[in-house]
Amino acid sequence: MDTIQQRESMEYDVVIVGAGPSGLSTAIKLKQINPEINVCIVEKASEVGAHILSGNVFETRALDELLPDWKTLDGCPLKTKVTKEKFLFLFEKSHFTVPSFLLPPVQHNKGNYIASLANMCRWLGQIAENLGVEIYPGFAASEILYDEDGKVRGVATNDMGLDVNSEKKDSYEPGIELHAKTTVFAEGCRGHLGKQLIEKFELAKNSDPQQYGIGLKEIWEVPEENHDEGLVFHSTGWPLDNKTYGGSFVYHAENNQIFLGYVVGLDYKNPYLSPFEEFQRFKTHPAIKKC
Amino acid sequence: MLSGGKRVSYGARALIEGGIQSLPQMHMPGALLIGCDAGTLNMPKIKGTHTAMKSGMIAAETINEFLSGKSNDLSCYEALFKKSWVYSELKSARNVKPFFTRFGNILGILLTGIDQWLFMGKLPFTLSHKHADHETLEDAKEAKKINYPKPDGVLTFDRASSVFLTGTYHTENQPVHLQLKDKELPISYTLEKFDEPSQRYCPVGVYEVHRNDDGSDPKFVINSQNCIHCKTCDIKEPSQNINWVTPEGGGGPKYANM
Repeated sequence: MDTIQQRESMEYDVVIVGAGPSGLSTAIKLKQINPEINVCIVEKASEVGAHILSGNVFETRALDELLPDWKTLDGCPLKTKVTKEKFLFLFEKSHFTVPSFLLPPVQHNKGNYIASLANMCRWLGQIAENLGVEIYPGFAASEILYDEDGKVRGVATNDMGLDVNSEKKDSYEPGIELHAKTTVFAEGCRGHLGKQLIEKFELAKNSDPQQYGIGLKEIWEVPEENHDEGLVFHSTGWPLDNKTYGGSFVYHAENNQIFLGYVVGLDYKNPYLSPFEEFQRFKTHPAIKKC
Repeated sequence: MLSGGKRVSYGARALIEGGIQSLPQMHMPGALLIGCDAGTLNMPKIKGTHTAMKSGMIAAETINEFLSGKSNDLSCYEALFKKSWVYSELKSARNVKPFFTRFGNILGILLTGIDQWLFMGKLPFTLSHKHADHETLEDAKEAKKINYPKPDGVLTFDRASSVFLTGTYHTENQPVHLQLKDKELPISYTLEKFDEPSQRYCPVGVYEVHRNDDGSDPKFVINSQNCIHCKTCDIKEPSQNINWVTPEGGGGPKYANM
């Protein structure tokens, strides 16, 4: 208990857990509405963006509303417009190209951008800081604080310098309490504090069980002749069997880089399945090799 | 496409696919739960960034109403969210994941086409998600083993060389941030029943079963220093026996432009 008494505390109007797209948008919008509101973001990564991973083909609708002049803002990382799209159904040794006129409108990416979400977050983080938002990377919110009525009153970061048995090392420093009138949990998928809140406040009592996937991604640098900036390509089918949900993405981004990845639904049934190996195997398909 | 090329980055992250059927209430006393922490990703679009951002912008409006005294709490989030385009998007997307779960990939694509193209997501029913992901594994003895090809080190890789590219780092000698509720369970139950699937679902080889040379005395090993914070184990472990908690701040992957 003595460590809890030693903790320092700081007071804010709003504390946000996680400097991803939702947390940063909250912060920017708050400052736009009222610059007097003081806002703090804690981020467990060593710098903003370092824990962000996404495809990403970016639809600008929310950004258009948040920062209408985003195209002219300094450092905007959105540069590569989607120019071409392909959707393949893969069989073990062959493939079928689904004609794009058959793809439903939700799967069309005209007007969207191929983006690094990590770089997007770094850019949004800079915009937020310029508006006066305090961002603390390297601080992991590890505990939810409640007041005596059971209302959320903030978060605490974890103690630094504990050893494997939770004993204090020489480098020990207690965590810090961040108190707020409102706390926003924006940890991303399966946030560990979000999980506790859902249970404590029974937030999902009227909802179906949540569904998840695992997305794996690699970035490749390829010779210019193999690169087609703006090409967006998806596939489903092999190497997964028909009852396992998933598929690939291949995005030709700027600087001769290709973002490629594979998503497997975590409702898969076979305990021997390895999403990592499925992704590796996917790259060996003849249609992908020569695509 | 990749020939003559070089892999420069690797990483993995869980994503949330349940849509509105699975979306929890996003407001509670003193707090809001937004973006993928709640589950606002649009599955047929395979996009969650624009919806996450919008859910955050609605959070800001809600908080302003509260701080300026125009509302007593944060419950107006719900009405603002339901009025927004995020909600309409998620509503028309709602049957796509269940189509695939129920009918497999080939029929799933066809039904998605009909639902999303002809009916624009307005079919007069909502299919539910019946099982949580940790409940879906079949017994190892009934499952088909999969023989994955060996990596060639050029196009395909092993986990060790992949972890290296994530730049992940955790300060040594700190409490293990992947907590087992029951320390015996991986060997006493999960190994026998499911051949300990964490060895395979973890994308960076955090979990291993070590044995003696003759195969006896299996031990469950957690290489928590390799963790890239994807949260897959917390989701998929069949008994929900792994609890992911935050390691010391600053730990984890160092993605450059993921």
